Amino acid sequence: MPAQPLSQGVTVEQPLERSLSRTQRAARDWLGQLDAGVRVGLVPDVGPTAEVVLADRVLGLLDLGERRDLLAHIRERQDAETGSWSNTLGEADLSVSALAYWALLAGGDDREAEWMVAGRRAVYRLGGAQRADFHVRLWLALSGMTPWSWLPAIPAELWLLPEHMALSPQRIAAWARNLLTAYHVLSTTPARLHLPTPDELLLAGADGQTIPPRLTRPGFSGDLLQAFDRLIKLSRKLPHNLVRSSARRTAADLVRDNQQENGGWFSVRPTLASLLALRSQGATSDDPKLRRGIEYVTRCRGRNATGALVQGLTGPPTTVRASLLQAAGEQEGLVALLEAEIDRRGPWAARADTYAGGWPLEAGQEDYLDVDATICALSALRGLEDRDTPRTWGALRRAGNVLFAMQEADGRFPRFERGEDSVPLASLPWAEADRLCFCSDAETSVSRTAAALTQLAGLGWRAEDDRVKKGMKYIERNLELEGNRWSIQTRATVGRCVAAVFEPQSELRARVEQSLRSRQREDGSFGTVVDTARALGGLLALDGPCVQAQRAARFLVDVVERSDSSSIADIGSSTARGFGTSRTLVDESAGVRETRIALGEYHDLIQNTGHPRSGG
Amino acid sequence: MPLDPESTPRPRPETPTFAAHYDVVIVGAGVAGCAVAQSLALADKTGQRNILVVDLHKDVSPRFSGEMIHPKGADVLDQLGFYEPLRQAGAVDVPGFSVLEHAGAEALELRYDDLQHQRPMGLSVHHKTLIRVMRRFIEARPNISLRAGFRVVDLLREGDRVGGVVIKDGSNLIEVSADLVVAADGKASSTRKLAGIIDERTCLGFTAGVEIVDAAVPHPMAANVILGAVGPVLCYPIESRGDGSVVYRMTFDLPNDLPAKGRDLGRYIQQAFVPYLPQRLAEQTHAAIEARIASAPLEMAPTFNLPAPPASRPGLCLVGDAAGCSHPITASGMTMGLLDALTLGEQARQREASAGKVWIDERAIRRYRAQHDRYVPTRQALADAIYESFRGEGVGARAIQKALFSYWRASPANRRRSLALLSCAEGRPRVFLSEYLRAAGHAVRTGMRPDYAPHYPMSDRLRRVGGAVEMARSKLGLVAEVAWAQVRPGWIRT
Repeated sequence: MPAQPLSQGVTVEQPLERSLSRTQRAARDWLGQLDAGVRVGLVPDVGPTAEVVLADRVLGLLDLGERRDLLAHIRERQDAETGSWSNTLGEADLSVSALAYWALLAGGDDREAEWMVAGRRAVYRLGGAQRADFHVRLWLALSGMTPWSWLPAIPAELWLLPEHMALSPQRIAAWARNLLTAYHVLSTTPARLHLPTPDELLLAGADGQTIPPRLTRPGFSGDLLQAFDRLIKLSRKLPHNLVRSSARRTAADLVRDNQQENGGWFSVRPTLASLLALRSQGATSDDPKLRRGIEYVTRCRGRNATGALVQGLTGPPTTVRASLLQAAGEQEGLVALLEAEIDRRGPWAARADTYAGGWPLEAGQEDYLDVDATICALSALRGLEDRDTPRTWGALRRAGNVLFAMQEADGRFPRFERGEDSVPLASLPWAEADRLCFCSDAETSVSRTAAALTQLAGLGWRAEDDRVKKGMKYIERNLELEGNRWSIQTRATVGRCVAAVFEPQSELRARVEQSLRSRQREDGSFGTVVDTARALGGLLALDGPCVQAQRAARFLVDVVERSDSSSIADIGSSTARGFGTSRTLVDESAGVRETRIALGEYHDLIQNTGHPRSGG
Repeated sequence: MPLDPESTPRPRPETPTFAAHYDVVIVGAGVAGCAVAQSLALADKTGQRNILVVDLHKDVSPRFSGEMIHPKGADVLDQLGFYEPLRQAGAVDVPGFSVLEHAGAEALELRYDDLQHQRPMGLSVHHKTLIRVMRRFIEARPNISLRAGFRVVDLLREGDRVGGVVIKDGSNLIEVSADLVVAADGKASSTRKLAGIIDERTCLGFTAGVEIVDAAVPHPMAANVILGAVGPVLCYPIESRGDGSVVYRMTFDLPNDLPAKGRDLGRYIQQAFVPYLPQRLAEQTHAAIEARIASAPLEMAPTFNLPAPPASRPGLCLVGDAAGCSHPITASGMTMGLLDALTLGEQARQREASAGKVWIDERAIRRYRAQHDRYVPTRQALADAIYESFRGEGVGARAIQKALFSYWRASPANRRRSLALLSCAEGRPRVFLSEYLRAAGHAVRTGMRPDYAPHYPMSDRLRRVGGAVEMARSKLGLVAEVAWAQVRPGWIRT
């Protein structure tokens, strides 16, 4: 059905109103499904699904039906042509392929089945399992298939260092910290997992011996570190090392203490490693910590857009929930979001000089402030009908202070902790040192900074404030360097930011506006549905309901009109940042919620101004 | 003599009469103008002197303006006879300041009664009530003529000397000669401009205000300063009503580039300031703003920084805001105006001239200026520094703000010394310098010590300290100027 022209005096029958109510209903359905555990908020590659199948042997995570469905999903995701498994960007991935193959093997698939042979060949083609990332090698070592020497040795003494020391594990990014602590416990414990061993995934040399991976980067410093690594491993052979046993106890205590209220350890992968570490320390299946951890992993499972059962990396993330609440206008949910505010200072506050506030990565994770979640929550709370209450004001005030306290010296905003991308341990020449950090690429940092400044502008902080100025300078610097390569979503987010912070006459504002406007296509879209929705929001903030905004709105209305009741929930998706092996995740609800939010803003503006403007 | 501030003004003759000559013409019937008129009238030993007060506004300027007066100013009001009528009209005794670092913090009290040798209370009163009562009071004096609704459009000159004013009455221009013209027409003084005194006035921003009945402030009768938002918020009592309730003025400091205009400004304040207020006060403020913007825009007034221009010319004296003003954060503007009035009155009292001779001559004017130049720079330097740190724009300003609170928390003696300077009770350069150095030293120490973060990076700590040191350094010139103003011999003055 072609898009109908929008005119003034819209009624319920008209396309815009209809689109609004349909997308709002779809957003509500999404929320219901997220909360009931039917859908997964952010869908990763098959890596976590494969790991859950592997861990099921020890932890008893799955019933028969779930196991069957997860294995079916892994088989279904295999590339028919290449036999490999891909990450969410569609690139063949060695680590994901190795884990998927292994999970199918553990699930009972015949090594000589056609898909298994294809999978094996794909792993060979990509370099063999020993070249897979730390995570896969950890599983290989746990199963006893490869020696622990294939993993970097972490000096046990590090766990005894005071927290403020640069080399303390507490200085590592939150995701890696939980994983590494569990790894330390596991690597110093004799227990092994009994899993079918995919020896065939390891490439062997001409002498038939498997080729060990190089743990450090090439070069002199890497060689030195490799020698140091060997020295540490040798020292572990010494009997009765008091320091080492004390460090192991400290790490084991940390594993026990770091469990969150929701049962997890930051996300599913560190949770699985921590659960295995607890098991290795003698925790039995009725241990409350073990049970809560398993329940958390179960809660993070759900269906994707195709209906397949997948293992998510987290429970419903606050970023997704908050945006869905905003789109759905769910007042009760917004009140619950308000209550999910962080009310105690976690590890994130060690380097951020402020009191508690903001929102976590997901509900029940009080220790992990998420700047992205805080931004989304602040945006969503503007839709709270009864927002003029001391409770809301307090939450807004605290969130504003937390955002400012999290700002880095160069003006950008980190995701979870200050300094998460400049971990001192990561500067050592380990082959996978970057896993110790949580690095956001420059464009993601720009986008986050712009979104944070937009929310701070909503709390009254404008261009006069030095911290806002600093953030804007960071954005401006990046605009100069690589602004022409920015995605539509980044341009739109920066557009909203400059509209909130600067006067209409600002030169920067004009440049950003121009860079956004120039990307509109003939059909009124800016690319995907999510791109168009975000761009519409940016245009509305910059210039109100102009002609280009009107065309973008018409495109979105058309998309909604063409979708039926079964497909509207999945009219578009976006990608989000993941952790570790799963670097990107698919945000399947992005299309419907961003469309609802953008069309809602458009609708409100034309209601206030009377009609769309003819000038642009 | 009880005065009703709401009573209708005394009917003015259709064609108000101006004498051809007055001893003193005061331009501006605000606080400073009325106080100067009263002070001079009291100083007139002969009872023969004629004082003319001219003001542009028939009633009171529609903009809200200064309402808080420090004990020193309250003392002047008492000496001039205004205090009791003002109290009867609803003025409130204020015991000092209560300063809140942020909504969740504990309020710090800076109490006037901790200061020795001065009144234990300041005074706070609705500006319109203040002006109406003062005008009515001086109108009752036989040797003061108050003429409201007239504009002074020019000055009469006798060589270099100012010899009177030209007043516009409809289409007529009336020349009135005077031995002394006093410019009390505020920070935007047109008299100052007509006299060719160049000023370096800069607009700092705006202050928006609402009135709240029985505001739930940490210390009910004190002047409450609440920080944490984009600008400082002040809340102080301005009227004590017969039914026991108290009306408070709440002001919000806004930047020069107003983020919103008209009714949208009310919504901006709801977003930008209300969340940063203590819970109950936030609710009251929200309701007050909603009620106000439903019927009219918020009351607004610009805030200026006017570095003190020369306070005199032959035949002309500048008093009150016309002779220099700062951001109202230290609430010292009206106190300065009242001190100016007292100083000028003292000069007049010392003169023994008989009725036919010049009353306040050039020597008296020079002496007035010498006194004025001693207390004004201290107040301006303090107001400037306090405003900058309370506004918290910049890492240095925030470090100094943190240091100030830490300094005040450290001991009652610190609070006492600071308040003595802030309330114009202390002007000695030694005290000013030592306070400055103590606060700067405190800033260095507290900059290195984070409030919450146990592992706050050293680079951030050093940035704070560097910012505080830079800010302290940038004020060194001002400090030197203040110190010099205190010790400068009169013969150097031009």
